[in-house]
Amino acid sequence: MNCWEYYTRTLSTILWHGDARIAPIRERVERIIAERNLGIDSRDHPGNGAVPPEYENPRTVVVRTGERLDFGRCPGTHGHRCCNYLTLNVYTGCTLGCTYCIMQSYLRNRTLEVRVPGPEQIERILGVARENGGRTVRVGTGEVGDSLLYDPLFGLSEDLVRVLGGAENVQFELKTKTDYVDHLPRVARDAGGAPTGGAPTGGAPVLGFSLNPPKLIREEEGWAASLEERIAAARRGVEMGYIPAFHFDPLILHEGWRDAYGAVVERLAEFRDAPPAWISLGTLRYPPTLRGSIEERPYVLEEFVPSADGKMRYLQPVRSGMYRFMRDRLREALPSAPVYLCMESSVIWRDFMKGQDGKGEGSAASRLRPIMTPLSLAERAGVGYER
Amino acid sequence: MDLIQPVGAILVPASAARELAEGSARFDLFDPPERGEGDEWRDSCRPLVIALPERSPSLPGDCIPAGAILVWGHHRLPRRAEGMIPAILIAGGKGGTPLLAAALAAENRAGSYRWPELDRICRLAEEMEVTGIAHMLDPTRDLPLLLPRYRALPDTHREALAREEIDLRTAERLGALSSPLLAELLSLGESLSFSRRRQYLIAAEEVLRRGMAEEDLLGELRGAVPAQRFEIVMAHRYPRLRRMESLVERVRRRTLRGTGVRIDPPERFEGSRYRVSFDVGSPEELRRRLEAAGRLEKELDELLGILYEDPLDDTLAR
Repeated sequence: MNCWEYYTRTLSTILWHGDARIAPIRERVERIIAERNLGIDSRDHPGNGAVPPEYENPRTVVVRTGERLDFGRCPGTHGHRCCNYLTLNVYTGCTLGCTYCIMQSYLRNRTLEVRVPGPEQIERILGVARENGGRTVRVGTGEVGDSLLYDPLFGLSEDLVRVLGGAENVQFELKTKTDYVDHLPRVARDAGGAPTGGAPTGGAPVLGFSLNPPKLIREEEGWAASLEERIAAARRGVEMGYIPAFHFDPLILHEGWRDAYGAVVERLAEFRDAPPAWISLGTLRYPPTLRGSIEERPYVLEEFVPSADGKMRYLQPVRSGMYRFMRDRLREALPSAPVYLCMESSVIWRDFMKGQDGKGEGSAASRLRPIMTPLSLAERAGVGYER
Repeated sequence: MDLIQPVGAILVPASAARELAEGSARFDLFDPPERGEGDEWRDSCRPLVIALPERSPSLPGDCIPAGAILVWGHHRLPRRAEGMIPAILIAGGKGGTPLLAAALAAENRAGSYRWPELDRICRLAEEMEVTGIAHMLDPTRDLPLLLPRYRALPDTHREALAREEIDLRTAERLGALSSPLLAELLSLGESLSFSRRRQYLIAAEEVLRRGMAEEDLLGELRGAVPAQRFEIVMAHRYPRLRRMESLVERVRRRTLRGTGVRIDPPERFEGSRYRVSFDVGSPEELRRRLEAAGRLEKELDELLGILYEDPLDDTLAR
């Protein structure tokens, strides 16, 4: 479904908090609503406090300026290894309706929020980048919402791509399950892959696609784009100058999972000419509070045990086996891509790294180093959720 | 809510009270209490609650005026005994709320009513347009939300709830089980405690959803002694975990039995190391324990292997 039809079907109201920074965005959004006849009511937020009850639902988008805490470390998870990802919350909430989505346990029936990032947040990201010279600072907007689901309407990624793409050691990622990439700015890159020209001069922005086999996408990922649509969008992204990234998260155990995931990985071999910035793997996990919402799904019938962080995960040997399988298939399809695990224990990590080629130049370990090296200055730079 | 005040008290012949109870059947709301020896006699001393008709000319002598209602006491009336039973009289005619409130006050079991009782009470409350009694039923639960869920259950599930064999949430989770199947599973799991029964039933429902045939599961359960039935269901629900546990158990039995040496896997098999432990009280004991622990060397590869290799790998490759 194209994005305009999607908005017509899923959005009814946009409530705007007054702010000079927001004014041009509102102008853009209202122009698009009128031009495309989207049938979305755009109006002032009726106050500075809570959303009135009649708007308290996921068909409402509240737009406000971003706050300090919208930028921070990916919360990670207790007892599991962190991949040093930094998150900038721009779009909060999602209407795609993936059945396993952890956000269901805390964002259900809430309004969607757009938090317009300001210069101070951008400066904080750039500050972290300066303090971590020589290291890769990975930042993304896809932690608590889909980076691109509403972006064709609000257009907030364009500025972020332009500004953050200019920082040499920043890799800015837009992560999505949609194929809404065509509105993004083109990024000029030289033959070696680095961006050139008037646009960004530093690390090229990354377009990350969350992937699953077609059957799981159909059955568990609601309104999300099909696998073919996502891969086609990744290809268009490459043509526009973006580096692709892929996320197999969640990997879901099901009958025939090897064939199903193996076939998806095979499809990715077409990106050998545009090697992905990274590929992440994470098996299905859920907090016990989500269990009631997913009771009817077939995947809950697998064996889960509570992990160190309290989330339910497959048994360790099952997870290990799935990761090894994916690692080996990905090594065949995309030999140069760094593959890392999301929220996994050191034991699983060691097993995952076993048998991988050495530690030298070009090895799996060296490819992972930029991702897994902690940003040791991050705390001093004020990054991190205040708890 | 103001409770209705008694206007008098009388002694009523048991036969007249039974007649009155038959004529006031809609107030027969409460389950009879479980009785021990002597309880019936004690019950006969608890006064009934009778609402006088709206225009009762005066307090009755020892007879009950026409139009009076037995508001409370149906479930405590002696079935056969004769003699006189004490009764409190209240004034009727002020709508249903005071009458139902008087019944609930006399029963005085807020928070411990069983589902069928709650259902009957709330149906009468709905019929009589009674409000404001929730605190007298169960101050901790949102009954307007929960009762429709109870009423939507199939009969067998409601009956299991009434017998307090399962809770509402479990009954709902088992909604897809047919009535005969639930009845048989309950009967086969009769000896289980409440919480083990809950786990057993949920696991059985999930095992069936995973594709095991009803007859196969029931056949296995019927053929087992009651003490094994819980484990049978769990082994089908958690085949990998059970297989891992049984490997460790096999090593304990085969290699360590009687040696005083213990081996423990990491908690929930999350980790890379086993713990081998023992106590010693003499050098000789230490020598024997170390020798026994040393025999684990031959088993260790297999034990470590299960931390990383899916014990049911072949079935997943389909």
